[in-house]
Amino acid sequence: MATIRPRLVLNVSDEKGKSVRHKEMWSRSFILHFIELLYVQHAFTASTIKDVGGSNRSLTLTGSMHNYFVYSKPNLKVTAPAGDAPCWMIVGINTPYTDRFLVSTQYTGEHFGVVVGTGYTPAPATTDNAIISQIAHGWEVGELEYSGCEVAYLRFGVLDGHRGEFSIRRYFTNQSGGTITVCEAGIYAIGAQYVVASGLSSAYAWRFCIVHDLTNPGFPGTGININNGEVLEVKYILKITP
Amino acid sequence: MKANLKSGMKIKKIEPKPMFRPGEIGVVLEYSVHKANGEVTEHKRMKSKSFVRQYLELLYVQMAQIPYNYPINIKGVDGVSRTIAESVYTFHSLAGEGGHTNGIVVGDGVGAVTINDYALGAQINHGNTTGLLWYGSQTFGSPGAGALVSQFRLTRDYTNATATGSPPGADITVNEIGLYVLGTSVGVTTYVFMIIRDIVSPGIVIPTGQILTVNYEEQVTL
Repeated sequence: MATIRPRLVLNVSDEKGKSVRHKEMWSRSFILHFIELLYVQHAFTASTIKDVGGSNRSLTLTGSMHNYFVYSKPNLKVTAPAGDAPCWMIVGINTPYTDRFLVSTQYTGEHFGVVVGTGYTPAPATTDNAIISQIAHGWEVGELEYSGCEVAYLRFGVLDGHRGEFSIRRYFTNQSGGTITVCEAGIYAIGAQYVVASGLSSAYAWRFCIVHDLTNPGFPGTGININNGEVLEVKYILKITP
Repeated sequence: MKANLKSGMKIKKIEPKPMFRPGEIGVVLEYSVHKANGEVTEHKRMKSKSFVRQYLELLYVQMAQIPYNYPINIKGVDGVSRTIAESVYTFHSLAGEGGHTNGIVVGDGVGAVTINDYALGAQINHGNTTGLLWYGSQTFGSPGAGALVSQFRLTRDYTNATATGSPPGADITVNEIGLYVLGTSVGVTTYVFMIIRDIVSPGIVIPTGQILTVNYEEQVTL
């Protein structure tokens, strides 16, 4: 039987790069919004999905977008720049003025890709719209420095009992001066709405929680500790499992 | 029959037991054969056994937003590697009646599934003559979630219409089922990729005049 069974890897390194704490588990919680984004792509249709703020957003796909927004169709996008670096979600040609470019919503890196938090729930739900309490990007008390979020290492072959995988990974550096406990992790993906008109086309992008995991299920307030100066690697490995 | 409930009694909604382990992304394959009057002659529901590598590759393309100037190679159903990037058409599975090049497809190949399969072993095409099936439109069920399972459904009908064709027909046996979707290459050209392939054994026999209905449910389980 071939399914995809995501693995969650948490690794903390000290300032010298030495691994000091390591934890691996099966990710328990790809959730409804992942399925909804896949549905939009498969059915090539509009769908209303709750974003990370709990607001309904109408995602759309149309054939004409294919030409208008040549350079970005970001449904399911999880790659992200570093925490405070801005990123335009959609860039396209604003027809009929083909010499002009249309851009849409801008987010900084901390707002999408892999995210971490301090919240706890007895069990994540299929309909969660966000992780409970996201740790912000920064260098102040209670903050972590978000690196860019990468999607990489697509490979196939006879590996350790599975047959194909890729990874979604982000690093979080603690320069807050104190210890921070990461109790939850998740992935925020982008979904887009395009309004194509004869004069001026528009595009919007929103964030959707597609994964919500606890780092130490069953033990409120616990998780993985990151001391000042340490770096947490959070990696989701999506494996095709025989 | 009328059911009487006492005041205060609660109806407990029972959610079917999940078919996959917690955290898994999987597909449920369900099919039935029925007569034109709706009488079901065969029905099965099982785990789909076989995401193939193109599923993971297309998911990677979309999550990583692989750009057109740095596409990745993915093998199409014609066996040719195509350079593919992010697109509105990634995973596009729409197909109208008779459209046997996209959506859920069926065949009579019997070769075992491998992760590197890129097409059905021997697809049965659309038509009403010997050895063909009449492909209905590809339809979709909206996404939904219970306490543990989130899913959406793809559904398609195949009619053995050979009795109306020339020459009049015979039973057709389906041994394999797959899902064909689109991906986009440089130059905004779309190509077809297989992302799921299942072998059904013994094969599904569709007598003349009868209809095979296939559902694929893409699921995630908490």
